[in-house]
Amino acid sequence: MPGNAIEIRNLKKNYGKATAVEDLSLTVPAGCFFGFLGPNGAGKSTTIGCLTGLLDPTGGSVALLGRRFDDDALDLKRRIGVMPENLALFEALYAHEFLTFQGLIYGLDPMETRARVTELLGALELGGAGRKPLSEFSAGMRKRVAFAAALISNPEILFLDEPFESIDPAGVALMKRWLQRLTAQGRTVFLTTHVLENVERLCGRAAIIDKPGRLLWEGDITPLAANRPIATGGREFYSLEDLYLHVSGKPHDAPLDWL
Amino acid sequence: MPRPFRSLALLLGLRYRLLWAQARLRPGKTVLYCLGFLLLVSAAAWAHLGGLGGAGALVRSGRAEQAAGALLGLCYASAVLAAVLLGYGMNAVFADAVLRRYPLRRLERFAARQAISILEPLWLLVGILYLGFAAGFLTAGTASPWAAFPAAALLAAGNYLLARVLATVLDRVLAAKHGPQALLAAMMFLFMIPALLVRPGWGSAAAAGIAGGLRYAPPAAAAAVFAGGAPAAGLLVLLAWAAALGAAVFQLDRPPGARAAGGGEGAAEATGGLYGMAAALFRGSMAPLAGKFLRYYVRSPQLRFNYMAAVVFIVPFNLLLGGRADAARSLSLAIGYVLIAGYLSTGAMASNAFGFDGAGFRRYFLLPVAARSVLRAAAAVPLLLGAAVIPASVALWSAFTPAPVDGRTLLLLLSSGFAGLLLFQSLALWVSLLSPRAVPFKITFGNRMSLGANMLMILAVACINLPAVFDHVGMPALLDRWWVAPMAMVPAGAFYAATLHAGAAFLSGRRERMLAVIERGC
Repeated sequence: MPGNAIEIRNLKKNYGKATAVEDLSLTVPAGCFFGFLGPNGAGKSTTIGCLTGLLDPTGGSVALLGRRFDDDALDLKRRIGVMPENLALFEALYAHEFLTFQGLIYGLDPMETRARVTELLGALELGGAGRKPLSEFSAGMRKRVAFAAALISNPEILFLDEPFESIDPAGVALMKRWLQRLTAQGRTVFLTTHVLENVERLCGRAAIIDKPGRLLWEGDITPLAANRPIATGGREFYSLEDLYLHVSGKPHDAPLDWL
Repeated sequence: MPRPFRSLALLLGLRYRLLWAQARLRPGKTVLYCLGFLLLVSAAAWAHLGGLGGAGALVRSGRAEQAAGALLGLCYASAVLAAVLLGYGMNAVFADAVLRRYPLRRLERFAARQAISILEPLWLLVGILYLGFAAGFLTAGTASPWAAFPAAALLAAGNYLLARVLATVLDRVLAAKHGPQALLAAMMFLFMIPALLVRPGWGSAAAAGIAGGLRYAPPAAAAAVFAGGAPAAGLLVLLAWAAALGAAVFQLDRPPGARAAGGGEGAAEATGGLYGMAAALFRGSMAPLAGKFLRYYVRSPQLRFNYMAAVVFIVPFNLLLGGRADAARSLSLAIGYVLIAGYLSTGAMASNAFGFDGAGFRRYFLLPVAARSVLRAAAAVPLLLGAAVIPASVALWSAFTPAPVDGRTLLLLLSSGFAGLLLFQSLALWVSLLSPRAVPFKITFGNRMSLGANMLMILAVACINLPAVFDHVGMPALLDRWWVAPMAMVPAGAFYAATLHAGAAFLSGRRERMLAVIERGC
């Protein structure tokens, strides 16, 4: 799939007087597994909100698959999948009802929806949940449901905000395999996480931002997987953690004498 | 300070800091100041009227104990009803599960939650009223300070505890599978059947028996203390009630056993089944959205109870207010009732259409679906559910009313009902957009509506009396003008259509503000 999947130009987002994203410009090529990193409150979720049509940018522009996001972009929304930070589940529904809702609203026919829901529930070990509303699910199970909901329409771009937290290792391994299959097919995954090892292992490119949504570094991180360094600012880094701490300028330690 | 009291003080402080933080986060400071002012004025007025003035008048009447018992009983019952039916003063603020994070024993968690609840404005006012009574009787010289003030405090505490017991029991009943039906049947039995069966002359012996038993009720015991009849015995009775009710609340405070997950249902049921069939009435993206809203309405225990109550309530309402012989009064009352019956049945959720979604609210704007479809689905489900209530209520009324029922009567009632439904559901949509409130879906009882929704509900209830202006018109003249009701459906329908049209743009434009309220609950 040629071209860029995501293009952000001079994105700005204010909440009242507070600035969440100041002037962010970023490009994500199609078929890329992209890691979007930054400290808490840096504006990652706000950026995803603007990219997915949830929030209206205060300034600048965003484009997905070569198209600007506007109010009539329903067909564009049909081509993306989102797993938001707070999961955005309808708590009173059962897992199979929620996934069926998600499939139908993305335009899948009922038979196809039924088949995909059954497969996803089985693969993600949610089949036994039965008549239990989502509000009664554990954190990990809720995450699995939200992940399945983002995936059910087989999107061209998948936005994932901290997808692996609370999920057991077997579940995480399965999710990673599915995501790698997606990118191998030329689809794009936009991943936000604080677990740098996951980004290092999965992503081809990464961006690091700081408050309020300012880009600090962006580039190819594939050398790290092959134990080769990334050079930036006249220094070489062999891990994403070192690179992150260097470009973000965060303190490595704090003396807690009472500890 | 001992550790349990320190923990309690810390939690109480946290509750009020949270309250203040809420006021800081939204334009709530003015509301908070107004409420504080109102509370102070009410407290002063209640203490004065219920206390000094009231007690003085009762003592001068020569039957201080009986009259005080009746008055205190009225206040006691009103406070219980306000708390249990309307949900005032029942906020626990911290759930037991939340307090389990802290190093607190079960008894400490229980005490903290109840102490926070009893400091709600309703119970403060109730306590002030009882203390006012005590002060009044003290001034009149019939009570001793050592007995009157503890009696007032015990009466207030018992009042709160009784409301808490009833609310918890009702909550449990409503959460059970057929709980709403059982509760409705019990209420019908309690309120309706005796009203139908009672005969003149039946009461003297039974009334004497009931009056004898009521001597041991908390208000009568407090009255005995205040009026100086039997202070020690009265105090003992109050203490016993408070202890028994406290033990009951403590026992009921244990969460009920978790419901076991049932057998695995497949995706087949989600696309088919009753919900699927109902959702299939709609086209395109409206169908899954309507299915989602329908599930929320049907699965809410509170809504299930309200719905059934709205259908059948027309009968006791007509019998109690209209008597059993006045045909014209029965018809005007029925018009008043059907005007709001459709809205009453679903109003708690319809006037907060998105508040029950919590974090799920965000999903509407991530999905490939227009805000217009979301709003229409949110509006269509309560409209259809409410529309079904009206013919059912009219049919029930027809079976019980002394008024002759013909085609004109039925048309008049049905059209009035549908016009009222369209009007109130439109207003409910505006309230949902302008005054949303984050509400946990699992609530079963009490008032968790937003300020706007409460105002709409009060307006709706006030409308019951609107047709009373027709009483002087007389029934034949009223029936001659039956066509006014179908005509009223036209502007009501136009208002509904305009609401859907304008509301969609509103939902899209206000989504970020609504997200802040509904997702974060602030």
